[in-house]
Amino acid sequence: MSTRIKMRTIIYKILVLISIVSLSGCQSNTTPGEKQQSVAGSDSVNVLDEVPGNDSMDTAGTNESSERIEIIMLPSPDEILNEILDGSVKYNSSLVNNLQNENKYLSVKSQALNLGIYLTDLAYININNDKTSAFQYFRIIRELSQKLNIYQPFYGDLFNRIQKNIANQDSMNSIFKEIYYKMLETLDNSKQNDIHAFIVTGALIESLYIPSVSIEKSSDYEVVATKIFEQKFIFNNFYEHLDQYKKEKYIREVMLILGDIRDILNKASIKSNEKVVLHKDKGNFTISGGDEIVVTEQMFKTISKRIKEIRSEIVNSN
Amino acid sequence: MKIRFLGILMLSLCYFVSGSAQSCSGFYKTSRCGFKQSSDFKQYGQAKSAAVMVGKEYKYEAVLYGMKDYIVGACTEAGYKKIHLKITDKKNNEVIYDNEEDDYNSNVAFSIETTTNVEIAVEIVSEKDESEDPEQYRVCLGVQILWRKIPKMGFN
Repeated sequence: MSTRIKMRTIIYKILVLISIVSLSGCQSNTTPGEKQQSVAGSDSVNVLDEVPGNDSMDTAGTNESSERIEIIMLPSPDEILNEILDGSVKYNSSLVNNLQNENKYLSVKSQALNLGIYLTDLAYININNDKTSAFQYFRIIRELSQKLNIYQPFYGDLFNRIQKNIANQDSMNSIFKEIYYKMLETLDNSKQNDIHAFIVTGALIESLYIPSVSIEKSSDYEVVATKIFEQKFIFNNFYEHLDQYKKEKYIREVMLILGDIRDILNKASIKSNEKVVLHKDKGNFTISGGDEIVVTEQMFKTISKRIKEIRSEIVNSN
Repeated sequence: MKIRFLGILMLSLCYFVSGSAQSCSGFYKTSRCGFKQSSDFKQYGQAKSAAVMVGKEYKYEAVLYGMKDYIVGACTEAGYKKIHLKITDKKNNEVIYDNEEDDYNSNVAFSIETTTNVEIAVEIVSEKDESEDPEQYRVCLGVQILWRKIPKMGFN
């Protein structure tokens, strides 16, 4: 009899232990010690339960009840800069946002927008192999991320990896991408749509600002200017993606900024060439022709001016 | 005592059920998703891993820059052989590639001359009877795009 009671007690204790573990492992996607924060809820910061991080994109945030589910795949800032600049423009270290500005960003909105700006700056610095600045910008990005309670990308031995690989440009680009996408995933998983939107918007603005200022005094501006206008697809896609969250006040603010630039980008005229698909075999083919964007000097001046104004508002905000 | 015992038992079951639930974290990095590629291809944008429902279409929007070679691929777990992969030009809804006409080949390689906004529709085609409980057919899906600059032809 006493053995039965003992057994029951042991089973009971095991079940209690399992229950505690299961309760502590519940639904939040916030990482250990991480707080959930959004601009909309910046007055009251929620501390969520602890769970392990998740690097996958789950279907959260999409409408599973519909038959078709839409997901946006945006290029990272280094991919956009590489596409626009294509090694043709001389590096100018004075174009990036000053490190000292970081202290004046007090609101969640200005912190998130400028985190996006600094992320693109770091991409620009990495592309141009400026090792000294790279380390400083990694630090500033970590500081701003922590102010926004985004810790996950910086867990582990990230800074050791940076120090070890500082001379290796490919590794630095790869670490940069890892941080960028981990950051966005963390925000997706915790449904912080507004902070996500601000970071991406800051990054996109800076991705156009650096190339446009780099070539504004050059007579040979056309190739880069055309590439700048080709980013209209990214602005359009991201704008449409945000439309599903437009009930949120801060998302509407972001959409105003993006919409402003998008409208100018969409004004470029298009030269349509017939598309021809040449098949090597069924799963291997070439598409030639398609739409070419034609940019006039006046249009380039208009977009450059507006990007400079918006970027200046962001970096000088607090 | 009995009620407390039952309560704890329920919570424990909840734990085991959630513990055994699908984790698709980093699925695109697994050997199931080893797309054929040469070393000069780089990953473009963010590769996506997701727990998805069999028989439901997922659409990915991506901008493919011009003058590049691309490999677009999708992968899923063993046992789900068919993935329907369709790439459409968003401008005119013209289908660029549909693997229905290519034996459900799960990856495709192509070159693009001008920047194109595409929609990549992916659906894991069910080969089982889903009528009873579609939720049980939630599986991992990985989608990624690889790219490289079109290599220059001819002699330097």
